[in-house]
Amino acid sequence: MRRFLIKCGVFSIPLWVIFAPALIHLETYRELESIEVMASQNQHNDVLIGLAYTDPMHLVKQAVLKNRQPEVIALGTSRVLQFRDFVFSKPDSFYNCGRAIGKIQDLRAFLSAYPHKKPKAIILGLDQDLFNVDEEDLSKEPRSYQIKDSSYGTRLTKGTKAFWEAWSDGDVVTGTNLPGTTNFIGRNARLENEGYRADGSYIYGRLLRNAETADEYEFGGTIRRINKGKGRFATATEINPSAIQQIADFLENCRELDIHVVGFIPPYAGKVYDRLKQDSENYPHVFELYESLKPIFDAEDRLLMDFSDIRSLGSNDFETTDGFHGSEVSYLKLLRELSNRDKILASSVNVSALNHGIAHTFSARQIIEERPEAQPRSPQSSTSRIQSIE
Amino acid sequence: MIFNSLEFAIFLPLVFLIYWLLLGRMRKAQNTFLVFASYVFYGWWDWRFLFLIFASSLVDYLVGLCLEKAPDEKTRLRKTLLGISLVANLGMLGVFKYYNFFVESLADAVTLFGQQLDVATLSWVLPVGISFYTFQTLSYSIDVYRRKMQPVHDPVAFFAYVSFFPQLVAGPIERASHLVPQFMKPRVFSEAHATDGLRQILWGLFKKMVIADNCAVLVNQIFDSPESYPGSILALGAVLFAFQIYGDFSGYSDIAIGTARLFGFDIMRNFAYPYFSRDIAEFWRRWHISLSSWFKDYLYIPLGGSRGNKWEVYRNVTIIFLVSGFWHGANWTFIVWGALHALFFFRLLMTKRHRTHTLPIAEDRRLPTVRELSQMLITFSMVCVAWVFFRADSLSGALDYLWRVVTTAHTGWPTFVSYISHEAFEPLIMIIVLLMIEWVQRQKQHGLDLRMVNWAPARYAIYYGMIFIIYQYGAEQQDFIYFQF
Repeated sequence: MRRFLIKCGVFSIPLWVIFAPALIHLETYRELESIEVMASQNQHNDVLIGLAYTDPMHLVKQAVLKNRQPEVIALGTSRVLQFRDFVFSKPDSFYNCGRAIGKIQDLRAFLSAYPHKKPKAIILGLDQDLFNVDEEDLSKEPRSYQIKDSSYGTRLTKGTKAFWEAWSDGDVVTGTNLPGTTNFIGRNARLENEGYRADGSYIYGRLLRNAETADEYEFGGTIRRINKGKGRFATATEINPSAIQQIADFLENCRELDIHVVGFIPPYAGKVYDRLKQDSENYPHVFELYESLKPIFDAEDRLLMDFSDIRSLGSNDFETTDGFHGSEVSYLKLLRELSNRDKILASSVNVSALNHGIAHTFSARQIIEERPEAQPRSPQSSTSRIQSIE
Repeated sequence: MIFNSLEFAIFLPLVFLIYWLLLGRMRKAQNTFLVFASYVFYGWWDWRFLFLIFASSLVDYLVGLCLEKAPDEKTRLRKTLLGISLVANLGMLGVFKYYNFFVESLADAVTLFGQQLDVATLSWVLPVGISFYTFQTLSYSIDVYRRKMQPVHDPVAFFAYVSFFPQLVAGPIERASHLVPQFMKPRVFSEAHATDGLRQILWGLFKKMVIADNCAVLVNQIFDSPESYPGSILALGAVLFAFQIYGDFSGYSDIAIGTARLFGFDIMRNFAYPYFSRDIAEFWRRWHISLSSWFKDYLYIPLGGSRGNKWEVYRNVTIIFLVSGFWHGANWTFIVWGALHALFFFRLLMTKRHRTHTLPIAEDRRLPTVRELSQMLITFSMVCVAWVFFRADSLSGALDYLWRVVTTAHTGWPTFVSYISHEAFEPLIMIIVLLMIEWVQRQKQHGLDLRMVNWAPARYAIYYGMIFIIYQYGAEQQDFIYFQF
């Protein structure tokens, strides 16, 4: 018996060497919480969720929707994450489902998995790159939105795999809490104050605090990606007709469910837009998308607006998070534009809060709620103000 | 608690250490502790249903004692006692598993005559493992009734036999005559026995987490929307389901047998490489052996077995396959699954070839002959067709699925090629690995039986390799399919 136990102990040493560091790190930063816990703590205790190694947020958001039952949701990729709840008449009636969608075919899957009480309206962000016929494979299965909390063992396995992958890339960092980040789930939330707020929006802590040293300084990272022509900025021969059809199906589906949809094409920074424009024949999914989508929105009597150039909002390049994410301020402006043209959406928006937010926001990039009565902001001085957030 | 969970990874070593280190030489204390551990294991899922196991154990324990005292000439009394056991066990099954099926089928039947019948259905959860432990206790009462075994006087040993956690929720369905004596004698720890148990657990985890759980993802997608796929992918979906259910159920059995061995128990083999069968009769000698032999001993033989005339034999075979299908679930799909296997079996009965393949395939050779290979492929294809009924939600769904396979199999080949080289690539590679290992090990008890590998570093390399594969390629945890039965 003793011999057997010693053999088992010796045998398991290499396994412990692999698991223990990852387990300690993941548990220290609460990276292994269940979906149920994340959804509940995010809503009830206003805990910031910023996981560094795994991304189950589309499921966490489904779980939140079940309890919150919002009247208006923002739906799309990370490019709708900037909508905030405090500019709606009843803040609890809004929820941001940004990043719940990763590809076009996810839209209908998201809707069919949506909890029983459907929203009154959806603000739908339609990223240009989702319509790239050469990059987006619409035959791929959509995401699964079935909220089935995976076991601790499954989360541990996924977490440790991601941990070691990050470790091999040199991306595992440790440190102490940022001041004030006591309520957190995930390493990014704890170390960078970066993650999802209770309204589903996302605070880009690291990117904003290190604005001038980041890879994305003056949109350098985005411009490099355009020059390489890969991923989100890959060139296309045409707009994907199947993707357009899927949007038409989605709109029809929403009409059947009595859900109002307001669509928009999200902004690029002016500098990025100009760079894309130089190569416009290779980006039909950027420059011809509005014309392709407009008829199907018209057929359903729904509003669609194109804000591909952030300057069309009256914003400038300071009002961005990076080359293809507008800032929260620019999204306040975007929401104002949409609600000016759409009565149903307007009925849910608190116009005075919206205007106040636009005029009195301390930072061009991120709305700092702790300073709601800050002095009116001048765009020219935004960079120095960003630094002063530190 | 399920085997492939962290809870079980903590529970098992804890129970093992207490069992051997603290209670090593105290048989009764070991049995008492096993009952306690088994009830914790089951109650982890839902403690409210513990009373069913307790009730089932108590009824059959008392029936056994009463049967012992009832003399042979008091036939009526003995039959009444056996009836109590049958009613109690089959009654529990009937209420929890089949009640809704019967009342809904009755309502459907009445509708055919233009009438409406409002029936009250039950919304109870099916208690996990109820079909397994009720059959286990039933076999005990029947064996005592037939005087094939002495009744158990030690209540703790009997309760430990019924609730023994390794095989409580999904078998193998053990016979009292085989397992109870093991609870009655002192156990001695055997390192070789325990080491092989761990190997079998590892092999079971590979089958469950790498084969079954990976296949499950694709199978669910394909069976949930067959209209989205060409026939070639639908056919592949049936093949993937065949491996999903095999990996899932035989994986469970391997973990159960391996776990039992850690505690010094031998429980019966449940699978013997069934997809290497050359005909359906051989398949049923190799698939879910504990259930097949249960039905053979307690249903087929009492009905007359193969002793009667030709029509009686056909009738008995039909009954056993239909009941076997119905045992799996209260749905017509399972009954048709059983009926299909009966039909496949008839072909062998007619030609009296149902006992042709009783020896292992390619016993003295490395590879099968072309004839054997084609026999295996034909048998596997027949099994896959039947699996479509087993997996489908309804009869119409299964027929629609098969119709699509037949009518659109010639279309969508580029999609099929893309599918097998992307989505299905990893599961297919793992299935090939499984088949290769099983072929090499086909005359061993399980795929990781390495007792013949004398060089320790080679054995350890295989263990670590297997753990790495499970860690790296194991999919999201899924429930064991047979829990629902």
